[in-house]
Amino acid sequence: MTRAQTAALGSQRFRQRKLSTKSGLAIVREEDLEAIDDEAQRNVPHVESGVEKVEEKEHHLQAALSASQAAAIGGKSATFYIPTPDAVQSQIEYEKLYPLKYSQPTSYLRFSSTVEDCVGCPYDMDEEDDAFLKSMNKKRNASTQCSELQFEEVMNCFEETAQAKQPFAAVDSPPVLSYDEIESSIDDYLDDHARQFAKDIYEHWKARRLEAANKQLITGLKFETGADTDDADPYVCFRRREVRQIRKTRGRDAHSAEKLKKLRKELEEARELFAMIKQREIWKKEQLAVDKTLFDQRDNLISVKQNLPDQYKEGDEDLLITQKQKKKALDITQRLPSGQLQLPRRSDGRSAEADLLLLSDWLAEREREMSLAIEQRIKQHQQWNEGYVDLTKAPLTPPLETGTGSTFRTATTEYLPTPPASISSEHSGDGGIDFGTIWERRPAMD
Amino acid sequence: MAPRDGSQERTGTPDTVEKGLATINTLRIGVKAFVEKDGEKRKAEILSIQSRKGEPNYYVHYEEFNKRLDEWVPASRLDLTQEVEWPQPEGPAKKTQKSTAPAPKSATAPKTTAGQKRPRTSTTAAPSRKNSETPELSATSGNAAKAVRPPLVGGKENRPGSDGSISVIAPEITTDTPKGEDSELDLVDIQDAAAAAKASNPNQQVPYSREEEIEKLRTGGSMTQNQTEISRVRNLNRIQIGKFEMEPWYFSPYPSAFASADTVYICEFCLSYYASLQTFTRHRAKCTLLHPPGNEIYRDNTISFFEIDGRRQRRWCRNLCLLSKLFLDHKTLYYDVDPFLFYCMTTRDEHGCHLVGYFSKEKESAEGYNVACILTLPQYQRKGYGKLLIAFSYELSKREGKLGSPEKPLSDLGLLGYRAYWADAIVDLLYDHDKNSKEGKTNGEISVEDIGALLAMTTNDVLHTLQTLNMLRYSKGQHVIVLTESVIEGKEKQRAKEKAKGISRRRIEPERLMWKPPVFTASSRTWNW
Ligand SMILES: [Zn+2]
Repeated sequence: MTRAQTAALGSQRFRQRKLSTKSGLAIVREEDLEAIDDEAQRNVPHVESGVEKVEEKEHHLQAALSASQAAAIGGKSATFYIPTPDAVQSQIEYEKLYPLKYSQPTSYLRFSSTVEDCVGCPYDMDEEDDAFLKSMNKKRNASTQCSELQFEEVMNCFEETAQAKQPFAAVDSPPVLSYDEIESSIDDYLDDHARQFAKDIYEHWKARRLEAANKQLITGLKFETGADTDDADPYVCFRRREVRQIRKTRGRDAHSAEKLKKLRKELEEARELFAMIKQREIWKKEQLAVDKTLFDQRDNLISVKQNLPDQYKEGDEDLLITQKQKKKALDITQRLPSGQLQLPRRSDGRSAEADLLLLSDWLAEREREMSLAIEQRIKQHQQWNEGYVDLTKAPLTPPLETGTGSTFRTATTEYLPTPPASISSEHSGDGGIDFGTIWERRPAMD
Repeated sequence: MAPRDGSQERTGTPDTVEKGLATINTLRIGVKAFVEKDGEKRKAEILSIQSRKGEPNYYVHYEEFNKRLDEWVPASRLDLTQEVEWPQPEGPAKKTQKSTAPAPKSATAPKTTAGQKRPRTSTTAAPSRKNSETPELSATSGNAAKAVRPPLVGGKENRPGSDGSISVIAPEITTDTPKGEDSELDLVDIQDAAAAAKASNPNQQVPYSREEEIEKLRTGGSMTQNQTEISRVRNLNRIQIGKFEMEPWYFSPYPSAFASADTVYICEFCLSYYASLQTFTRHRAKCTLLHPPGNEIYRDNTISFFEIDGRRQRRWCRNLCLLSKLFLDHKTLYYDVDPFLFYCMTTRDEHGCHLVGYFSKEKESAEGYNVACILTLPQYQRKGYGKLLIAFSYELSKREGKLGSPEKPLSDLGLLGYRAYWADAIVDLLYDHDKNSKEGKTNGEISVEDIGALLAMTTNDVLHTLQTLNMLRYSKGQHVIVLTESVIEGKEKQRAKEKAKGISRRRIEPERLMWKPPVFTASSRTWNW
């Protein structure tokens, strides 16, 4: 049901008595019905019949509808048929025209040949052709008779050639093709036997084409020609649909929007992936350049050292080869004091020693900062607690002595239920519940 | 054109109807006169006039009867002792129509895109048969130029200078020599002339005043007609298909030359069409098709269903559409068959699989329709096949896990067929549900949506059916579903009958359906060369 229909139905219903299509309805027998509220009958939405208004009024339809209406209400009524022109048995020789050829396969039929595949030669000779063929065959001896099918093939050859060579014959009315113009295609279309009739049949074909103003002999449907007359012509049928117009509905719109969004997201991800790959390759390239520089410099060093043989020291070769990580770690302390020719061991050029030193420094610094911050908070906490009794501590564990530096760790864990506000939340303000505030208000509530 | 336009406006504003006595010589297209039909005098509109053997014949449409009963009548069946209604000449009445029906185009526009159904008449527009003349022509998909084209009938948009309008020159007033009374008029010629007239310079000033036109029409007794009215007149006299012969009900755009053939022969298997027995016989000698050219997706003891893709089997599906248009009023062949699948029901014997009926279905329906057009061929009607076709369409919807409904508008026969199926399916369901709950197997209650989900029917269609069966009642403060006595009686009779005969009604057995919902890429749904 469309939105509009639903709305229309809704507006027709009364609030209390509206029919909900979703809720279960009891099924009752007519005799079990006690009171029927006829008033409410009218509140059932009226549903359109789906027949055009004008045709709804037609006598026969009305008669049929009221007959079935009467039956529904319980009255007696014969089935009423809308009168239609009758179909009658044909006098045609059906058995001859439709021989018994069909035997049903056991499995369901699967079939994809088209009508064109199944009708053989598309030219069907008519009475006039038949008369001509008979008279033509009379003039020939028994061995050179033209069969109906051969005749049709020749005619079809002419028709198709004409159609190919004069595709706009219906519009520009050119003269009927001469035999010479057709001859070339005869060889392509016809077998040797049929070819011998071509000349005779051509005269017949030409006469018929002239009679028909050089239009096709097989009367076909009228398709669109692109002329303005097409639109008003009821005979013009089966126009091609240029582009099927997509009917817009809200659902369809939302659906396509969703699809497009998804597609965009996926494409975006693919793009990012490629950008990252590109970046990685750039970095690889840079690394190679650095490695090469390193290599060159080492090479340089070697040549320098070769020129200064007395400076040679045992173990210097190690400097010229990139060491394995493990070895480097072990050698650190050993190497520290050794002289000015000390070279970085890692490809990134940073010295491993510097790393180590920095880390210990950093850790020490951090520890200092932390203990400072903790000290401050303890002080702060004590300040807040001045003049108050913290009852929240009691249910958990007995309060400990306010600790100094050495005991603060235990102290803070014990105080978890009323944690001091972190520095960051104090500053940001909108960082959630401020425990400090709760703490301060608590006495007032008691 | 003038006569039509007038009659339409009269429908909306009856006070302006011009009545008067007419003679054979003053009768013209658009006049409404009383015509004898089955012993009664019925008001009928003259849609076409032709001379046959020197006598005028009138193609008439009886008011409030389906178009399939339109027919050619001789002058003797016309009752000219009673006043006739003249077609309304162009006048101020148009303005009122314009204001009361401001947007018929927008009302029909969405329907035209579906491609197989004729657009529905706007409920605001008074004219009864306007659609048959201005159907798919306006607001065709994706073509802005066409979309703004005004209806081809109706003088109101034809006044020079009005925005983007096209002056339609009435073929009745072209200066061609009027045809002699005795000459047999050829529909084809009329149509060509009319189309040519229509195609003439759209901004050209109509060379006659309206009054002059009317006067000329009145005195000239012209028998030509607006080309858009051609499709209101059946073009084929008789068709032969399989073992049967029948008269077509409506116009179908078979080659226009076929209009002069006594009988058009249609090959039962490939549905190709022939204007003579000779050509048809030759075709039959060569045609090897023995069943619809697609995959069999359902088979039971009597019937088979085949699935045919309009895109792959263009020729066959076109042939099918041409044939079915003869019996379907609300169908258009304006566009090609590509976006549709055709589900064809056949019966079998040693001759082959004989087409009994079919329904078409959009490969992708934005409105959720599970059927576009549906037809049981006339020679197989009233045998229960229609219900099977409908049941099959719902079986497909169940397999798809979708709720389905047929495309609107429905024809009279379509409505009756669907109502019968819906009633049957719903009553069956409720009857069993009620029985099971009485035996304690299920909870007794069921919602409208539950019913819809179980039967792949839309909520709207379930409601519609419950209402028409008088089964939806309000009792003791709540809605209930009533299994009425007549419903139960009917159902029990039906089941007893089945038991006695030992055969069950023809039904679709889901386990015999070998089918997965086909999936189409966007490009395969559209037309690609
Ligand atoms: Zn065939």
